[in-house]
Amino acid sequence: MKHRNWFWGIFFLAAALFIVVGQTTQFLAVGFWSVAATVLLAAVILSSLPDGNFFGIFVPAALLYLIYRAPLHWPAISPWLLLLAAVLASLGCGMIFHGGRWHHHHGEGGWHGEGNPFSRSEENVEGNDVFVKSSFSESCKYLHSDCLKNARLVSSFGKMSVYFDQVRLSPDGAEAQVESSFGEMVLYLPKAWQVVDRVRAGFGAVNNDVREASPAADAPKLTLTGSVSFGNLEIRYI
Amino acid sequence: MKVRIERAEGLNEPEVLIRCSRVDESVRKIQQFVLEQSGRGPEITFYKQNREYYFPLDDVLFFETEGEHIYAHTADDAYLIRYRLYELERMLPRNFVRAAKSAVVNVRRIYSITRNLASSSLIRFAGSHKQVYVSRYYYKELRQRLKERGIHEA
Repeated sequence: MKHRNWFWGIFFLAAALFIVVGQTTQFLAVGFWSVAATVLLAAVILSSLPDGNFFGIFVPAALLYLIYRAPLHWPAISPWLLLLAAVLASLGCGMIFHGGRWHHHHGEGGWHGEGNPFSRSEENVEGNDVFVKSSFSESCKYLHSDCLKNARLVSSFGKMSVYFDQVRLSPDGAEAQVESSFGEMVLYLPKAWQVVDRVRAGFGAVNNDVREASPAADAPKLTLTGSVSFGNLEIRYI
Repeated sequence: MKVRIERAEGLNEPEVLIRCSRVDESVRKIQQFVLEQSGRGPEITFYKQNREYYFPLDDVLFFETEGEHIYAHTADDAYLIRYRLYELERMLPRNFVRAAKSAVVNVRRIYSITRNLASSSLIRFAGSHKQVYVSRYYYKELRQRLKERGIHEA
């Protein structure tokens, strides 16, 4: 999370500049709220870029188009159609560019030589590199790994519950990468684990009530990464 | 209805005789119930990490396929089983019923069903956080078995 500092620094400087320039010159006839919306949307886009979250790029871009369509005399498109196009474009890009995007996230572990589990497309609930996927449906997945290293959990347009209570983590810790879009995902994690939540939520929410957890000092560590867009991720401690 | 219990020497197993003037619904139910009691259910061995476990079948909430393996889920644990799901379906007592392509559920342990008209309905079990979805295809049969459960336990 080191890049956050200079990112937000540059972001706020740019926002300040944008406001001053916007108010002093007559280049753009935009009001205060448009400026505020622009700043927010730009923030969403910029923060979505590094982890290849296409929903976070295309949808704000479509909204920006709607804001600047009139002042810049761009061609008119119906807002709903534009949003639909943005969603479709995100889905398409998500499918095409998936394999290559996630690699730079993962620095730990010695499994790089064994082929990259994150580029897999087949479901695999056995073993210690787990990949679970569900779309347009509801499902409950019970994992049974005895030395879990990586888990990739993908859910779109559906509800997925993943149970980790039968799982034993690798002593070096494990990483679970969550990708939830237009859906709901519920993770059932043992209370005793140390859970590090690094999931990004764009137009979505992560409910992680850490008060329920009571991690032991020497407990194995599970790092949650990935993103939630237009959806909900809930973490329950059992 | 008169109920008599007679002791007879020289019988290998108990024999139940129902005497009636005509066979109606209640007689059939008695027959079915008796048959189920006599079939004690298969002996299933549960495996977990090089250990074999033996416990009553009724502790199992549901059986589920996960990849190539079949797991028996109890309220807070899961064990491996050396049978295929369709084999289980055949050999298990009537209170176990198919709920989805990948699951066989113990209707005696069902606590609630959240009905979802559009897709699968959600089953919860008493005293456990575990859940299973029942697909629309198997829902009717499941309801039927749930009703039978009420009759047997009454």
